[in-house]
Amino acid sequence: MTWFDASPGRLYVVATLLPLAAFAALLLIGAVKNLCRSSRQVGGVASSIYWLLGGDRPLKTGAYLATGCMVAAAALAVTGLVWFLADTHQDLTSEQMAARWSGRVDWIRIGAADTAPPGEWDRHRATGPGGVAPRTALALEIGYRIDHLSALMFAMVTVIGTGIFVFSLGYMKDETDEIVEDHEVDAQNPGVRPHPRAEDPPEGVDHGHSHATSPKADDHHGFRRRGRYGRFFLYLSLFCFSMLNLIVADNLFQVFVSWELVGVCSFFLIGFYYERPSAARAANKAFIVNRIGDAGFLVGMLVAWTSLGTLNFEEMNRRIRSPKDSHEQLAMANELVRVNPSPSKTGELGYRLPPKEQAGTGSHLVLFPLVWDNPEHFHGMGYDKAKHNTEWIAANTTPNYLSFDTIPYWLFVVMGLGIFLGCVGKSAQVPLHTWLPDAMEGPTPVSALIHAATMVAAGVYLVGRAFPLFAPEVLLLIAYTGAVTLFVSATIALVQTDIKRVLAYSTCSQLGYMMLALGVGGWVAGLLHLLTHAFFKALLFLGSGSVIHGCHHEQDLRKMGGLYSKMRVTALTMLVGVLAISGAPFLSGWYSKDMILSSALGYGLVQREHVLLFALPLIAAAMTGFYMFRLWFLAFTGTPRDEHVHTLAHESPFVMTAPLVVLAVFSIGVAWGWPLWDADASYLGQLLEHAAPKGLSSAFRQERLEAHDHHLVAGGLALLAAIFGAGLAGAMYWKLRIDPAVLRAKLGGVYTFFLNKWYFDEAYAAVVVGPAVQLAYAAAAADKRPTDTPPPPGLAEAPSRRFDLLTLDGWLNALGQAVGTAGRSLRVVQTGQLRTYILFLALTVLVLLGILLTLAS
Amino acid sequence: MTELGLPPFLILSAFLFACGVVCISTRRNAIGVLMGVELVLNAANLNFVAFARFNPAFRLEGEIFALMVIVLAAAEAAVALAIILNFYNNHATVDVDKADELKG
Repeated sequence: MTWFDASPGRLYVVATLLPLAAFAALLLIGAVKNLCRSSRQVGGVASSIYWLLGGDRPLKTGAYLATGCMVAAAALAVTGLVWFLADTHQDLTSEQMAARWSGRVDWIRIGAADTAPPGEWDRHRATGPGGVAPRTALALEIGYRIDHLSALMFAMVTVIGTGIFVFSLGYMKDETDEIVEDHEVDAQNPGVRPHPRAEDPPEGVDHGHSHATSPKADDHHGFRRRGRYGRFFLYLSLFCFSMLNLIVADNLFQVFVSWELVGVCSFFLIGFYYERPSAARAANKAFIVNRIGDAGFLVGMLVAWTSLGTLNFEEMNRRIRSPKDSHEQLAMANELVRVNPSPSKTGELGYRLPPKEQAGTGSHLVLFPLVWDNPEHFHGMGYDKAKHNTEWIAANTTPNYLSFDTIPYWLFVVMGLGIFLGCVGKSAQVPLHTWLPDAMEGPTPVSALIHAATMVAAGVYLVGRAFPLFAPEVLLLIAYTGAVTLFVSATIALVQTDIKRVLAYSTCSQLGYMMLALGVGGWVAGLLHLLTHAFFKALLFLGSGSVIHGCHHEQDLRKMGGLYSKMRVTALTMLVGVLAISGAPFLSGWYSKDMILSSALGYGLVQREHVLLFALPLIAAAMTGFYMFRLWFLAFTGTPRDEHVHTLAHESPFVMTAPLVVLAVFSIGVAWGWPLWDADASYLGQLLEHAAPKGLSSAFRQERLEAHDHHLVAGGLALLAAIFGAGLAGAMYWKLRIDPAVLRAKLGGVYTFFLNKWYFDEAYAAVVVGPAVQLAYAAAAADKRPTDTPPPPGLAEAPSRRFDLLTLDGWLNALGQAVGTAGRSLRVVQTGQLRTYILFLALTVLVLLGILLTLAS
Repeated sequence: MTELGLPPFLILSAFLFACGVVCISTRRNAIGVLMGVELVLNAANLNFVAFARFNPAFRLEGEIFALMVIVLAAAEAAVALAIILNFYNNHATVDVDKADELKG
């Protein structure tokens, strides 16, 4: 206990490592079992081990172990959260408190540990904030840092993760069988779609129909394979570990590692039914699209490494933002300080602050030292006060941690753009959103895990975490990306018929809300929405999983209807989720959405040209209400549209409904505060406020004031919009006052446009995929040697010889042949005759002697 | 008696060496080649002894090396004769021109 007392953040390290331990244990069990499998009929030790570990059936204990680890992690996370909130030490400064809840060690040393002069370094080590000495850039670190944001995120991920693990115990029951028959895969021809059609529609479009046309089980034997119960929980555990590691990470590199782990886990899980071509393709798509974003992330990280010299979030922040100061021109703390290059009177290279009327411009960004004697004052800005005027900064010839430095401002923008591109990919923002709906190919608990708690949350979380690294230009881009995403995805979600796809696009849309909020300075609003959305979206996904499970893997909303009487718990809990996501008052979604819209309105009021940033989310709020209620009415009310589905439908077992109820409770009350009707009073939001970047309130002061003043307007408009959307959905699908078909016919082209998802996939296929495939074919054709073609009559040799030589193969063969020829010609020297050797020896000696004599004379 | 200088010894040694090399490279009989090798060794020996005699700094080293070479020559003769005997056993000849199995 004392070990934890000294630095309670270790609780989180343990909690992070628990899923990893489950992963390792499952991996080990699986490996041992596979090793012993060959001798299972023979007997002996190996055989008994095999039968002990469950024999031919997948081992259920492994799943319970993984779930147990997750429960333990959740318990630790909640303990940690309570401890963190209660941990007040009056005698400690905020830096010392941060140090108490963080820890870091070198992971990979790239060079010497300390490059600064030792004496000076020691002095600063003593005076550095919190007594924590900054480290040099020459080591990649591994560390954790707990603040309000990560503590809350950690609790959210583990709690939802526990729910999903428990739910999966029931949902994946089929996988516990020795032999699982997958009817969506052709048994004779695995890897080929059951009924190939002449014109293959582009990826994703066919999904809704493939269920309709999928062969019936009786006339067609599905693909038989062994159950994968253990493997599912293996992947889930690794996924959770990666996400938890990402949350506690205190530096960009560790985030990147977890980022990639999350990516690869999603690849495994989306492609869990990898015999299905659609699943394999969706997995590849998710992975490849994410690679595009990750390339940007890598660029951003490299820029940060080379220009800032550190990847630690806290240190990067301190390096680029001004500290508290008493300088007149730099009255603000935590601001970006931009300067222009300008030589001094004596001709030395240096930088000058722009004149007051052009404040905030300048081609270079000032980097601040990590440790210095007097952070209260700017005056030590690397120049001699006696020699120069006070606005001039000398260019640094030997930049290190202890000195001022500058980087070009565009490089800083590139860094922010790169990191944001990674977030675009991970959080499925336009234009990299196309992987998310296809990721529905995975088992439904995976969809819940990816879409609620882990993968897509990672992007938004990183934007929040790296918020100080974004230049205002980048923030504007983030806001517009979010606005476009939330609008585009909402329009697509309006017309989808697959229950999971509606939710997938709704996730995209809600992520857009979060990005928008972050971009317009509503840091708390965006991350609050991330937390609340995680609960109700996990609830909705698990609810849809329960529906799908109950309807025997029917996902088409058009075949459902009237399910309320059959599955009451699922219907009611899903209604809670629907209400929450639509922004019904006093449910968790209302608080966060209210804050987002008021932030957007505040931003729009201050900067009138960006009023679109408020209009789009407002329209999308109406659409959210529409598509969510449409889903609910289509599934649970009205008359059954497909008797077959309806008669077989049943409520899911307790192990599946229990997480639904728990998540529903969270969806209702997770954001509550007192007074209940004041969105700003949300307790969760106030907690997040503690973790907000320090420069936020000064950078967005005007916007925040406006947002506060027009809070009711924004909230009222959003509520009206949502009621309108929900009412329309009710009129169309519940009371049947309006016939959807008539509306569809009226909208015509727009409807088709939305149904085809704005033709994003088609555009990518035409612009990127097609040319890439063509290029690959061309490359293959150029590389192939047409040796199989017989020479035309009259020619001894195929005329392709010369062409060969031009290709890579040709060159390499020519090289090899040249070496061979040289060897053959040198062969004659090696006669095997003693006398020849002696002769050469003697002649060589003579020649050497001659050389020696010539040199001597 | 006038002292002969170092050069006559070196000239004799070089002559012996040349004879040895010519012998090695021209004889077809393996025993003859072995004799040539002995000549080369003795030429070297003569050099050692001559330098030991005329350069006081090398007195001890020269003589010890001469002894060393004599021992070496004996050992070498033994090994070489064993090789030649084996070669004769396999090929029924001691013609070194027939020993070209290592040619490239």
